[in-house]
Amino acid sequence: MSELVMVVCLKQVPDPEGPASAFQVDSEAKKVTPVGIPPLINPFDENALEAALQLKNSFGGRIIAVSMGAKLSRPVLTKALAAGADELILLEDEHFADLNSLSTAHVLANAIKRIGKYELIFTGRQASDWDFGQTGLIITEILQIPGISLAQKVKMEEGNVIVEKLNRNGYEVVKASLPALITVSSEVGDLRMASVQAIMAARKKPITVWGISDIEIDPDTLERRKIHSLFAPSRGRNCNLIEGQSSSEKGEKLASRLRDDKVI
Amino acid sequence: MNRRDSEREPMQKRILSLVEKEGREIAPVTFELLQAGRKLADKGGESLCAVVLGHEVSDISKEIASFSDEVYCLDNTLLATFQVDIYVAVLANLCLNLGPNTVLMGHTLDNLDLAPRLAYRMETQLVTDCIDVDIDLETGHLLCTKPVYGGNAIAIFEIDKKPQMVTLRPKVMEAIQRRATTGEIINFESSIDATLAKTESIEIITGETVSLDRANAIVTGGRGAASIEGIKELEGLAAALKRYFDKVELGATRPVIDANLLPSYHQIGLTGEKVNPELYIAVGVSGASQHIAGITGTKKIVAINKNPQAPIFNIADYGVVGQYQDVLPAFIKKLEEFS
Repeated sequence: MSELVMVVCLKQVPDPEGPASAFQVDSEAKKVTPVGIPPLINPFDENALEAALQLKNSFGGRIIAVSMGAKLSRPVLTKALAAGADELILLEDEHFADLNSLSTAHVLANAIKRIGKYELIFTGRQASDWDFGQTGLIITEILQIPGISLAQKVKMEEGNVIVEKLNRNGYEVVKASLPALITVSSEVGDLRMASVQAIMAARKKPITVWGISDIEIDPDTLERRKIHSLFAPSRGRNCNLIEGQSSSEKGEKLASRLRDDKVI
Repeated sequence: MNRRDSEREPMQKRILSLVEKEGREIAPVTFELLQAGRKLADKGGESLCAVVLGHEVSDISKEIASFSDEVYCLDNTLLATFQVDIYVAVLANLCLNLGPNTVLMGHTLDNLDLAPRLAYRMETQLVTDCIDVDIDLETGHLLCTKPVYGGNAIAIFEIDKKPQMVTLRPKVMEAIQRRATTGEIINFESSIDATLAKTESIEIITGETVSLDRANAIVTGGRGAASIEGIKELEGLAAALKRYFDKVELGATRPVIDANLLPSYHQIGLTGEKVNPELYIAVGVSGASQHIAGITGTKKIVAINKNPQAPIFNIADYGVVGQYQDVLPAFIKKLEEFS
């Protein structure tokens, strides 16, 4: 069998673990601006890369990481190279700002077509910023290849991909021929840490930048997210602090208070 | 009444609401979807149609007829278990025939797979994980409310294509009430065959199930309670709450999962389950936004934390500043006395 080529789609997002104050909600511009928190790779996309790396360990192959955006951070995305991806393709163009899931999928699918030979495509199950969870599955539809979502484990067997797919009561073991697309859940495991040598070696790995003309997309066909309004959530619950001489007294009073308020 | 997919009828304004099943049962979110659908139907002068997919689903269809204007029953052996390629083909066919204005689905694991593909085939837009839907009568566009950026912002998306598609988060709507009238059941036959399936199911493994999304009370441990003793205390509290609530579950934040104290399906937050219980008790939970994103729909939140500065107190209804080891035994004892 020829070399297994795996494409992993990575989205750059603001750190989802950042404090609430780091997400400035601008209702006028209908934008959320991260303040004082670093961008990073969407956590589920890191899981997707980890799934690809696990396969590469067992079966060999080549991993091409792909990211799309109007402005991408090299230090953030080269983390994928340090972790073990072989190549990084940045789809960077001002036309790629604020695209909806459909257009994002079209851009990525065109880039994947330009890569040409691929056996597996990995995406995270959803992104931590807009949380739509659609891009991977739309790529599946565009490329008309088998797609398996919510993977917790991925392996190869006799030229087919075997995936443990999460469902409500556990998981289903599903088989598909190649090429196939897999959306990955956190159960696959965290992205491995890169060694110092790997970080050094990553500097020599190729980074390619493609703009909109490189992937043959008409900018007029791209659609943006259509936001009617955007606002900060009303977090203001009035916290009734239960006072008491000791912690155990507070515990008793809590029970009484919940009963008085008919919560229990 | 039987109808084949070749017989098109003039376009009627319809809202389709997918009936979600759990095994042979109707999942509770179904009745919430119908409620959301009824609200839209009344406002826009549309009819509400339930869609049942599966095999031997006539009982379910009959039951659902008491809640909707029409029931489209898609009964086929190939629909007995969920296979996404087959399900999407059948639903796309139904949508092409009925030309619905809106399609409502539950935000379930299966639909995470199904809905985006259906939206693509119908050349429309989908907003996932909505907590509310409304219709703008001026434009006729659907307005879909959805928490974004880990719940740090709420966005209302506008869909300007038909059918307008959403997946609705469970437990954000009331369940619909049974009506005196019964809707018409229409058996819709769709030509599908097994070769549509691009994946093959090898086996289904049933694990231990935790119904966090259906719990009406949840006790969650965070970093401050991430120990074997801590989990024991939480189990004790959960047991005491069972006197008041019929479905009580244990939840956890990431540090508890990482310490292998509870399996990952207990995790609540942006990367875990999103829950909307009546009562949520957070023990030793600091309140990172990642976690808060999973509990925003909760009716009452109780926070127990030794750190008075913990952000969890900003979103709690009741707060106790203290060591949980001292607070919980007294709290549990009182709960047991009252009941």
